[in-house]
Amino acid sequence: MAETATTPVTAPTAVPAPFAGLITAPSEALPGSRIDWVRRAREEGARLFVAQGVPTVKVEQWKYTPLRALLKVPFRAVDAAAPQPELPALPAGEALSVDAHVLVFVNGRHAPDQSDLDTLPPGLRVDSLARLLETEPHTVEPWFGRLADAGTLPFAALNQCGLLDGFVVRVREGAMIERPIHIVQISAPLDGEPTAHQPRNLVVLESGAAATVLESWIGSSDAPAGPATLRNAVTEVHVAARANLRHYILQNLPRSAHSIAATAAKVEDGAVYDSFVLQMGAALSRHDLRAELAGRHAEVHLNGAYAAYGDQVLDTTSLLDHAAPDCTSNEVYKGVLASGAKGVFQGKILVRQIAQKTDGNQLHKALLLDRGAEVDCKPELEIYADDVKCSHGATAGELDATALFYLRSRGIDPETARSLLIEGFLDDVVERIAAEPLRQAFADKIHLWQQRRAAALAAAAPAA
Amino acid sequence: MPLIEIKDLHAAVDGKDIIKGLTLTINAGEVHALMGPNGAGKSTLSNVIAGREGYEVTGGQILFDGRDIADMEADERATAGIFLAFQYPVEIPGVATTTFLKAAMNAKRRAHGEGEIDAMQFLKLLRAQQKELGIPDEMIKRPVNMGYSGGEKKRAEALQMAMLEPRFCILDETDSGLDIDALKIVSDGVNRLRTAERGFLVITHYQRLLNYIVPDFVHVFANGRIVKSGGKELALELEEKGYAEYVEQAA
Repeated sequence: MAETATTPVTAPTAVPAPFAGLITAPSEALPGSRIDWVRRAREEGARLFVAQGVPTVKVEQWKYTPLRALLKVPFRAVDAAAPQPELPALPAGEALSVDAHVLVFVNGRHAPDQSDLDTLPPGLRVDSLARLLETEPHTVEPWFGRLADAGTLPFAALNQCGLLDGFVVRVREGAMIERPIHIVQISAPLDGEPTAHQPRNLVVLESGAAATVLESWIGSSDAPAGPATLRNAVTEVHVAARANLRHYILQNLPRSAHSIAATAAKVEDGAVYDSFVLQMGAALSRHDLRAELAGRHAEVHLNGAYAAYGDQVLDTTSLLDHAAPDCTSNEVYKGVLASGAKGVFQGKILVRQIAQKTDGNQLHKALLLDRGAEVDCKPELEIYADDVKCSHGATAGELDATALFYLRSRGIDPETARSLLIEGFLDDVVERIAAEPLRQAFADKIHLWQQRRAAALAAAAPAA
Repeated sequence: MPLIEIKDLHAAVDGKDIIKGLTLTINAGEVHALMGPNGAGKSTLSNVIAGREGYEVTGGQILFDGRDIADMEADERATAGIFLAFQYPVEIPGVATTTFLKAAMNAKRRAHGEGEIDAMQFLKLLRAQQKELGIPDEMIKRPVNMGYSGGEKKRAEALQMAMLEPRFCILDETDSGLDIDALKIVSDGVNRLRTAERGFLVITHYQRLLNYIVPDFVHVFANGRIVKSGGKELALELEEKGYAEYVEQAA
């Protein structure tokens, strides 16, 4: 079929700025621009994004997370011609601190100078998507755009349209990669202006492979104020039969950042996908997390925590799609919200008719530290099979006054006592991380959040 | 100067008067037992002294080392040397026992202008006290009081008391929920801490505990005040006759 590759895609007025500006015009400068399927993917992305538009709170899936504030920011898109910003050094202490193969991506683009690619073990490849599209696009095509459904995720459509770069992790059949692969992803404003970028990532574990993939989403500086950034990321994760992927994400963007991300995984026969996400940064962060249990005896763990204070909105919207019999899914999310922050948890378990003997459990618990905090929780079970075990639960509460008094009666000051109880509240979900050495790395970040919350509290208090 | 001096104390919970004019002086080195029927306000008194929110002092004074503690928060009273062993120690999920103990010890050290405790020194101290109270490592590895039996909880309270070395200890119904073996262990733990510098207020309904922690003075507490004081023989008398006489007298 002949392609009319040069038809310009123009955004109708229905797509508000700045998103209209993110719809990339076809260009020879884009990676893979000469490849049909890449070109088609970009066009399809644009079409589907325009068709869906930027969701308002009238769209059920976006009911609790208004994007109004975003529409006012004149983001400049990172395009193929945009220069890589100069990064003197990574901001210390922001990313996860663990022994790992470290790869750095700035605004979605690979920064080879800051990555250690030389020491990767056999069976593991980590590439830049842009490079693969130029050199071996056929290795990407079977996996690209299969999981992050551009028809129901408007921002995945936008991301597909703006396809430029991202990371690609591939683990060959049967390879057991011991050392974690840590992808540090930095959102950096260009020339001091609001900047948007759209990383497109891919993780493929072939059958019987095992690996731990860590992601740290951070800013280029830990300064609290700076030009706004928008990160619209899509990560597709293929876990083939009997493979085991541990996928742990830290969202620790600066408070000037906005993050819209979709992580979509497909988990085949007897494979295990162990996910943990800690969200603690950004002004607004929406994480769409989808896992399809596509083969018998697949096992998925979606665990996570979020912690917010001030005018943050942190949203986790998950879908566990049981599409095969005898599968197990467990999901536990816990959130801590202070002084005006808002948490959103929408969790759906879908059990298709074929998925008999499904075991699916979901739990969401929120801790509200004061009256100004808000949590919106929407658990959903949609079950078409008749022989299943499914449960969901949700609670929201305050710190236990009795426990607080107990700690204080031992001399512990109120702020430390609250911190201990908050960390205690989040502790059991951190303990669910299958890779034990990584629990401490996440606990350290929760501790960092506590320090920030305490500092913000102290700064807001009237001077004594 | 007395260690603690309670003068004509009145206190209310939820607007209801519970303590109605209690006067009690405890000197360093003394053990006082406060005995009374259920509902007399015994636990209210311990919470008032410890500074729990919601327990409002409506009259009178509590002096600790001669200082009025009215304006001191619960944690300030604790670092100053007041310790309440809870009737029902609180389970705190997710908070490691060692983290908690260290935080408590460091809070006290800071309040006294000392630096944080050295990790080795802390462990050494903890091990020694564990041994004295028969507390296995397995218990210490759990979060604060989590899954402890009644006896284990009281032993853990005694452990905290020994680690924090308070000057004034309130034992609130420490014997409740204890079998005789646990009672002995906890009592031995308390008796080891009886020194010339330290004072105790042992709150109990039953005389049984006082066979193991032998008091210097016994007070009968009914309807919000002390209605009779005496030596340790008063406890035996109460055991025999019950509280009926005092309840009527006070009413």
